[in-house]
Amino acid sequence: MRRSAAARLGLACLLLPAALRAQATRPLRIVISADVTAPVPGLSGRTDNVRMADLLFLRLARYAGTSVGDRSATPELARSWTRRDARTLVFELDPRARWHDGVPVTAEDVLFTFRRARDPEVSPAQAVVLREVEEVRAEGRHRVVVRFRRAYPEQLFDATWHAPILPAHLLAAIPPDSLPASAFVKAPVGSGPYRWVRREPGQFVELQAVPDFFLGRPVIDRVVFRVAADPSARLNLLLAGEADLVTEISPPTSALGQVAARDDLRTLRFPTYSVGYALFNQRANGDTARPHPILADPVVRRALVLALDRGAMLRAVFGPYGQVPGAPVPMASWVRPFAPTPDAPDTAAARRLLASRGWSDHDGDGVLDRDGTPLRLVITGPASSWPRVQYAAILQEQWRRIGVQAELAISEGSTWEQRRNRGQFDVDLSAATQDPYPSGLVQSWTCAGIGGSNVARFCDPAFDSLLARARYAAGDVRGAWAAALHRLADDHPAVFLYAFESTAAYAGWLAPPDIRPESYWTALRRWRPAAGSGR
Amino acid sequence: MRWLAGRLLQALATMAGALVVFFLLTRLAPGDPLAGLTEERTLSAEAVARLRARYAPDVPLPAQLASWASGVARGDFGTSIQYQRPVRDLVLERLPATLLLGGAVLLVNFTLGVWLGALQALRHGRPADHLLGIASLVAYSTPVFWLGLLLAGWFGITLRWLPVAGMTDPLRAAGGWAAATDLLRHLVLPAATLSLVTVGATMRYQRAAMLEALREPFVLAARARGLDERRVRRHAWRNALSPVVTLLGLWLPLLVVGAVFVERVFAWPGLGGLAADAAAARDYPLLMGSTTLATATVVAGGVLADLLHRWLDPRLRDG
Repeated sequence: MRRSAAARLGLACLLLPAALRAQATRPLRIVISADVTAPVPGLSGRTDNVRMADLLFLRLARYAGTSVGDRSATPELARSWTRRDARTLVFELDPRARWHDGVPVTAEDVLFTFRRARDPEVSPAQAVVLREVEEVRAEGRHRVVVRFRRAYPEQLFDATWHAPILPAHLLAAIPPDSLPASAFVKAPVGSGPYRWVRREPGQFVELQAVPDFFLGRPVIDRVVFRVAADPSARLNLLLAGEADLVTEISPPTSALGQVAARDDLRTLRFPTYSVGYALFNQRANGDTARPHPILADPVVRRALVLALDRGAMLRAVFGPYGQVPGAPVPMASWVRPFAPTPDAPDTAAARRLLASRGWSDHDGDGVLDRDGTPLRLVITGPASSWPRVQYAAILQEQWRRIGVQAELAISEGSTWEQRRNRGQFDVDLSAATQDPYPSGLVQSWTCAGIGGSNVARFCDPAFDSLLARARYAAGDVRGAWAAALHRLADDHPAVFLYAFESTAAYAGWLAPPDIRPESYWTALRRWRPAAGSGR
Repeated sequence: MRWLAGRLLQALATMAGALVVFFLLTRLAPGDPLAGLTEERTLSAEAVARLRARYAPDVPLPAQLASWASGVARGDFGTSIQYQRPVRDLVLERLPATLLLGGAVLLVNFTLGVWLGALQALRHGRPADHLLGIASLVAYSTPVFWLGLLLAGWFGITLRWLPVAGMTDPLRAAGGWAAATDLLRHLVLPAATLSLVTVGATMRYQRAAMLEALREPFVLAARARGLDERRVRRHAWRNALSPVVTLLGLWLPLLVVGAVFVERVFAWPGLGGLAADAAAARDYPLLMGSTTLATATVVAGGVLADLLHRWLDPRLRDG
């Protein structure tokens, strides 16, 4: 008996290391496009910094991006939330939540975070989107009460999305101006499923799974984010077996052919929060005091939209990876089903509409004119965006067919942005990456957005009113959103060109990853090896 | 010594002048330093106004220049607008990778390139000269981006002999012999790409200079005295180094920001890519930080070339 027990113990000792090894997963190597220099919420707006911050720092709850209201999020630092009244949300923090240095997450951290985020001197962009928050206070160590200035369905989103929670015990002593140079930025201490291990400047960032993460241990133990700014270099890393996942394999989509030719690689399509459109300037090119001599007329704008075969444009530029939207609503947005269907191309109707406003080819030069003024428009766009440069050329050609002369003014990104912000354009090839909640439309398309993202100075009080109703109405707001989006589309402030899907390519040992459109890596802890991959 | 002090003073004045001109040019050129912060983000007018007040304040240019200069005097180059890190940290972080790649390329250029150029001159008019001439011309006129992709595809993806990108393997433990080997393996493709397209120029300079030196009367006199041919060539070569040293001075900035395309293709974490990003985003603090370093290298290259000229040519010392 004793001999048998000893034999079993010996066998167990032999097998245990092998069993432990079998549990450890292969490290995951993800390629990103820019160095992660400041992965602290609210500090840097660069995409890769923000995505890394979203992985390291949890929010009170994670907005799922699929609906609106108090049940539209899943618990993170808050294990539950209740409504005290129409203007008050109460969050119960999960007592198991810990910072990566072992200190518990408490209500003091939430208060500290909101104090910083609501201070316009410290966080200009965050402060504006949190302006509906009237007060944040603690009731004990694990309860936070957020009071809003008014009742509206977006409260939970505002309370959770805009401010990932920061560790007060580490940051309170660091003045905001000194944060960029602080040790905290070089080695952030978060509360998420992965902790910071090291960063090699310009090369990679390494993270390690938190073994006792309170929402469940991540499946993959070690994740490395490799940096490669050039799309060819990113793809090469995957093709050479030096990386396991590359996102945003952007047009030209021929790169996907190289992935498809390989048995050991897979692709995945996922929706994004990005939309692209050709924006009609409502004010004269370079003179915001005067209405635009051509584009201020909504009938002309409608004609310009009808003249375009946007489906053909999309196929030419993005292939099958996207849709033509009827309004500035991205594919991942929950209001997408309520957006209008885009107008079908109808060049005859476009010509008729233009003729009805006096635009005809009086001098026979092939360009429409009115009172001696040709219908000439300058299309601006950034040279750095391959899709938009392609769109510019196609727009020019399709408008030429109805007698509209379009000149291309493609310039490098910063110069283009300056021209755009100054209103020095007729038609601008713009793109926007929106928040998961569609209220960002306020900044780009309402009278209140003029001076901010509404660079075309589009102003329709009726749309503003409908949008406000959609944002602040009680109960089922779907009808209100539909009405607002239809009103905007009917005004034709832009040609809505594309809402695209992004494509990721990944190694076959990995099960299809859940890449979240609102922030790619937030579901990373649930990623796992493919069944039967042996890893 | 007096010469050196004067030359250094001149170098400092040149650098200060160049930086002032560059500072003014960047501010006067079109472009918005907030571009990287506002593009594709939906921001309110208030947020844009606050960001502008923070990063692009409406302050007269001389005051901006004075503020920047006083910061530099304290060793503070400001905070990068897009990266939100101190410029000094960002530049210093990338410097080792830049020096390694640039140093390797310069080493290849001024050993292999000089040797091959001299060899061409010594084999003047023979098949070896023609062959090397054609090869150097082809290499010199090859687009670096295309060559990089070709080498990465062939040696990295098809043969899998060498890494296609990066400077180190992130899964390999830091330190030790294995880490050094790993670093060298990552260095091969970017250094080879940049060397291949630049070595041609060195070869052509060296060939022309050597041919000229070989026609000098002192070479004829040395041969007439019956000097060993190897010694004759060595005398000629020393005289032929002068134009190549000038080239070295001009190419020293390659160490700093000259390898933008190669850095992109091979994801090499050098300063070139950082400076290019800063220029594209009008990240003024970072742009000025990287420019200061580049300007310092250009000026140092000039001083170094002058020093080498004086060492190689006794007439300059005596004069």
